[in-house]
Amino acid sequence: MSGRIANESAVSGPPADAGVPGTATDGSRAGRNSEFVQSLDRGLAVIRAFGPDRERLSLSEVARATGLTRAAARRFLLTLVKLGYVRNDGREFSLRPRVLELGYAYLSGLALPEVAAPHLEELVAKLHESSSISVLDGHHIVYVVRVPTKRIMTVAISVGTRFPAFATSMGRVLLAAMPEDRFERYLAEAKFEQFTALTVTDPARLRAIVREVARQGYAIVDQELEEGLRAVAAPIRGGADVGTAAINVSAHASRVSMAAMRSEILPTLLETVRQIEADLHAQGSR
Amino acid sequence: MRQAADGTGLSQSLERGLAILRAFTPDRPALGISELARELALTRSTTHRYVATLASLGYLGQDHSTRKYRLGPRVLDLGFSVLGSLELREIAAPHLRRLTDATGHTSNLGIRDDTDVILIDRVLGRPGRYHHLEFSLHVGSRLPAYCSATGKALLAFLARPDLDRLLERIDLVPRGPRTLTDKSALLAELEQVRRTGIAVNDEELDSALRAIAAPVRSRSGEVVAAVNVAIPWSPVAMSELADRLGPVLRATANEIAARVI
Repeated sequence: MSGRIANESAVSGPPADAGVPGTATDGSRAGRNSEFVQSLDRGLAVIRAFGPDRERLSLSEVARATGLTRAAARRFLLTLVKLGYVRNDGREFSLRPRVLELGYAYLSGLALPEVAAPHLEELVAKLHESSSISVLDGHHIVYVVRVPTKRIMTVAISVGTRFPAFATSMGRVLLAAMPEDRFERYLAEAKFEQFTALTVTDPARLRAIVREVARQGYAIVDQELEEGLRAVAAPIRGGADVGTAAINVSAHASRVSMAAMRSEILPTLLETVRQIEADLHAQGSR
Repeated sequence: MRQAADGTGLSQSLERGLAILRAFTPDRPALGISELARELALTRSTTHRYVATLASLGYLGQDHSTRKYRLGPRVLDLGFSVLGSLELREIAAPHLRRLTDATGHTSNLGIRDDTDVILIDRVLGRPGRYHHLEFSLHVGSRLPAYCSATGKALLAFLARPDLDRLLERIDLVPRGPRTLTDKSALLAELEQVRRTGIAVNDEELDSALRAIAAPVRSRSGEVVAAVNVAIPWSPVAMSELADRLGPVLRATANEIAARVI
């Protein structure tokens, strides 16, 4: 296995609009770097303009969502149609399953999901709560493995979903693994939105919380991202191609008390982490 | 900047950028500038500009020790996280393709319709690795659930009262040399499917045809479909085949499941 790769882009920090679908990067970026191919950025923004609630878009809607002129949006859409990524039925455009190739190539190239998935399944079978693995991408966490429970009321999250790091247990574990200077830059640049009454949005308090997470080796978040949702997360080290990843177990607050998160779920989660890391180690030394 | 100069009304920049992202495959997850330049028939400096752009946008990351690039998690934003709302068949198609590419065998996606399985998508295997039955099957074909691998994967996870009611209406006629025609034998086999997450068909539907299937669950945990590979008979023991192909089938089913709402 090759050496460790940074979670974030190695060239420079990802644009601040990370995770905002469909917005092309600010033009000033191109000014900073003469090598930057702005029309590629804009074209990829056209793909991101489509979302779960924006499955079918007209040319004008794509132009509006991306801030492009109609002529430019049309040129990118026709290019995507030609490449088989976008379908055009009359006046509406939609993504074709071929776009899955790109994300699938990313996921299949990682050793971690394959090694970890059976352990997550065991964990979910034991605890009857959902479990996921995510990595950091800019200011967000991105799910790369998810094993839902069989409960009817599961949170609708799939691989590729992203959430702001600061309000999630996995995000705090990943922030705790950051070098100090990167973490300070994150605190200075990230936006902290108040999702629920319990969301901590004060940078100074977040710094203290993340330091505590680094010290204790796990994070528990109580309903800061969504009311009724609790989660506990721990770091997984040794996934050479993703750097540090985070694994969590999430549960509904009405089913699992904070005390039970700590005394029952956390030890089982940490045991799963040990098993995954041992498998990663065995694979790496093969 | 750098729009197509050839008057086709298409964007060469976007085309090149996507071609670079597509060059990364599970077999070749890390690529350097020279490899990419060769593969795309671009100059090194042009390739470098595109790679630098994709890296600064977070789609690529650079491995510090080897200087090679890898896809970054941001590529999941390019449609991947959207398609959870697409139809099962469309979601499954690339996974069936990969399953067939990986195994060489025909793969199928089936859903249950009462006592039958309906094939809703299939990818044919490599020539020379078909069973003659496969020539007569197509999307929309029906197979009896009790003697097919996909069917058993779908039956096994039914609630017991539903399964009992269904079995009352099924005549367990022999279709192949090893069809399970005894109800208790079938129930015992379904119990094993529940335990292992893998269903097999060992010459139960037709002679010289075997198949291995895994259930696909919806986000609520319900088994909504099954994915299989069909394998012409060979002297390899069925249990060995199941051990060998079970993991890739389970993985395929889970990958499809992860994208189903």
